[in-house]
Amino acid sequence: MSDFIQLVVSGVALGCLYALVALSFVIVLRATGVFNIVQGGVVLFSAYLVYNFHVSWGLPFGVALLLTVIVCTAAVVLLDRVLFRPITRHGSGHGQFFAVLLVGVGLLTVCDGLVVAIWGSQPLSENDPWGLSKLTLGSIALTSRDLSVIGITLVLLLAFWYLLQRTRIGVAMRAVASDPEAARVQGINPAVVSAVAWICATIAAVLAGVMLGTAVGGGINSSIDQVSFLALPALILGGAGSIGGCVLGGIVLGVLQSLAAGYAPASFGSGFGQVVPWVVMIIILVIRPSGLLGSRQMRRA
Amino acid sequence: MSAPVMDGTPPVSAQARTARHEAEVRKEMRLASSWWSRAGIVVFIVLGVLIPLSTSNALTISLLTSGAVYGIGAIGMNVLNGYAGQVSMGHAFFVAAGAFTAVVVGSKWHWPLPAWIIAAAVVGAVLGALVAPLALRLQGIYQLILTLGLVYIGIYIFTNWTSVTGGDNGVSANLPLSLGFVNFGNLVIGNEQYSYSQGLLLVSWLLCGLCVLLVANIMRSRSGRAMIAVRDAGLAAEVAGVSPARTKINVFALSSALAAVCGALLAAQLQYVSITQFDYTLSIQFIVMIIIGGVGTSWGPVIGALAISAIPLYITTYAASIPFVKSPTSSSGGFGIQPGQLSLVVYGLLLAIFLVAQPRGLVGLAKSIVRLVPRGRRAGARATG
Repeated sequence: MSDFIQLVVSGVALGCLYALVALSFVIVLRATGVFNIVQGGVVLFSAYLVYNFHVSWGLPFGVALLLTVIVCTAAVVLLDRVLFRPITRHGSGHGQFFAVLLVGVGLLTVCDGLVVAIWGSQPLSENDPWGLSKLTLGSIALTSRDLSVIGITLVLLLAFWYLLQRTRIGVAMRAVASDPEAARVQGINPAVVSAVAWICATIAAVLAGVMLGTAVGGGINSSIDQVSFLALPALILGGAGSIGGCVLGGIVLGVLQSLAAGYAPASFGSGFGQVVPWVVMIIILVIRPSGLLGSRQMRRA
Repeated sequence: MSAPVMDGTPPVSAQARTARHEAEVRKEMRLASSWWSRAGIVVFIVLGVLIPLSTSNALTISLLTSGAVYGIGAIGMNVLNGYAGQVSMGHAFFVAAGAFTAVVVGSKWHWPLPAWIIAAAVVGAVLGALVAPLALRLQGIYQLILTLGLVYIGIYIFTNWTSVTGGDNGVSANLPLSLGFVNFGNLVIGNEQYSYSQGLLLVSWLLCGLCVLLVANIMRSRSGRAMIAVRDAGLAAEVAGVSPARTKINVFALSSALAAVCGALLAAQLQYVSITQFDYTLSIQFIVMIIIGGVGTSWGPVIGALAISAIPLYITTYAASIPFVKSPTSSSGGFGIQPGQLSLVVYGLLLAIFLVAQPRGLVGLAKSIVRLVPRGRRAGARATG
C-alpha cells in the first residue's frame, strides 16, 4: 500500500510536469492560432540558464528564475516576430500551420545543438533548491522534490486560472482565442494579448524545465526537451486544450506511467512505463476521439 | 427580354474547346512534361550506372548511396505530405520495420535481393494500412502526435523483441545482393571486379529511379489524382465519387512501403541495424529533405536527400577545419560542438530558411531559373517577328 502511494505521488509530480508543458503549448495555441513546439526549447534552455545564473554565477535562486523567465520570454517573442509572424501573416491555413510546426522542430534541434555547444554534453547537477531529502509519514516515504513539484504546479495553475477567469486581460485572451475578429472590433489589442500569452507560456515552460532538471538521477542534460514530446499525449488526452484538460490529461498519464513502471513484471521489458502514455493516448483516440474533456471541432479530419 | 451580351472574344466552337481540353489533359498526363525533365531522366540513368562503376572513392560512394537510400524514404514522405497533404512523424517506425524485415529475410534466411526488398515493402504497406484508419481520424497537430506515438511504441517493441532486433546492441546485417544470374555484391564486368559498396550504390540508384517513376506514374493515375483531390478539396472529391478514407489508406500504405524499402537498403548499406537509429529525428530528417528538395515534385525528395546526406558526411570529414567543431574523437569539455549536433543545427536552420524564403525547395528554385531563359528567348522572337 505504501508503495502504491509513493508511486501515485511521484506519478502526480511527473504528471504536473507534463501538464505544465502541455499548458505552455495550449496557451500559445489559443493566442496565436498555431501550434508552436518551440516551447520545448524553452524547457531545455531554462534548465541550463537557471543552472548558469544560480550555480555558475552564484545568484539567488529566485533571481535566477526571474532572469531566466525574462531572457526566455524575450527570445521567444523575438522569434515569434522575426520568424513565425512572417509565416502566419498571410492567414493560418494548413500550410502555415505545418510551416510553423516544422520551423519549431528545426529550432528545437538548434536548441539541442546549442546547449551541448555551450554547456557540454555531460549532465549538470543543479544545487537542488528543494533537496532530495525524504519526508516520512508513517511507512510512506515521499521525496520533498515530488511534493514541491506538485505544490508549485498547483500555485501556478491557480494563478493562471485567476488570470484567465477573473482579470480583464484574461477575458481579452479568451475573447481572442474564441473569435479574433470580434475581439479586435471590441478594442482588444492583439499585440498585448499575444505578449501576455507568451509570458504565461514561458513561465510554465521555465518552471517545468527547472523542475525537470532536479529529477532523481537525471540532472540537466540535453535530452530533457524530450518532455515536450511526452507532454503531447497529455494534450490529446485532455481534450480541446483548456487548463483543466491539460492538468487532467497530464496527471492521469503521469500516474499511469509511474504505476506501470512500478508494477510491470520484468517480462514486459525495458521502457514499458515510457510507452504507456502513448498506448493510452491511442486507445482514447479510438474510443473517444474528442479526448476526455473536449469538443471535437479542430481535431477531426 | 434582352439579347445575350456578347463579349469581345470570337465564339469558340464546342469541338475546338473539347480538343483543346484534351490536349491539355494529354500534356498533364505525360510522364515527363518538358524537355529538361526528359533529359534529366536520361542523364540520371547514364550517371546512375556510370558513377558506381567508375569511382572507388569511399566518401563519394557513401554520399551517393545515402542519397539514393534516403531518397526512397523521402519519396514516401513526399507522397504522404506533398501529394496527399497528410502529416506524419511516424516515418522512422516504418523505416525500422523495413530494416528488421530485411535482416530476417535477407540475413537470417539468406533469401536473394528481390525477396528481402519485396518483403520489406509488403510489411511496410501492411503496417501503413493498419495505422492509416487511426491516423486519418485526426488532422493537423493531432495526427502528428498520433504518428509520433507510433515511433515511441515502435522503439519499445523493437528494443524488447531481442531475438530479431538484438535489443539495444543491434544486429548485424549481411544482406545478399544477388539476383540469381548477377550478384551485385561481387560484380564482375569484363576484367573489372567491383566492391560490395559499388554494387549496392548501383542497386540503390536503380531502385531509387524505379521509385521516382513508380510514384510519378501513380500520381497521374486515377488513384493518384484522387490523392491530390482529397488534399485540395476533400468535400468536392467526395462529391465526385472519391472515397477519402480509402484514398488516405492507399497513401499511407504506399508511403510506408517506400519507407520500409529505404530501411531495408539502409540495413544493407550500414550492414548493421540498431533501434537507436530510428528515433523521431529520422522522421524529421525526411521532412527536411522534402522541404529542401521541393514538396510535391517527383525529383525534389531525391535532390533533398542528397543535400541532407551530404551535410553530416562532410561535417564529419572536415571537422578539423570548421571552427567550433570538435573532432569526433575528442572528449567533451570546453566550448565546441559535436559534428552530429552541428548537422542537427544545420537541418533546423535550413528548414527555417527554406520555409520562409523558398518554400518550393531546390526544385522550385531550379524551375524559376529555367523559366527565366525561355521567357527571354520568347521576348526576343516577338521583337524580331
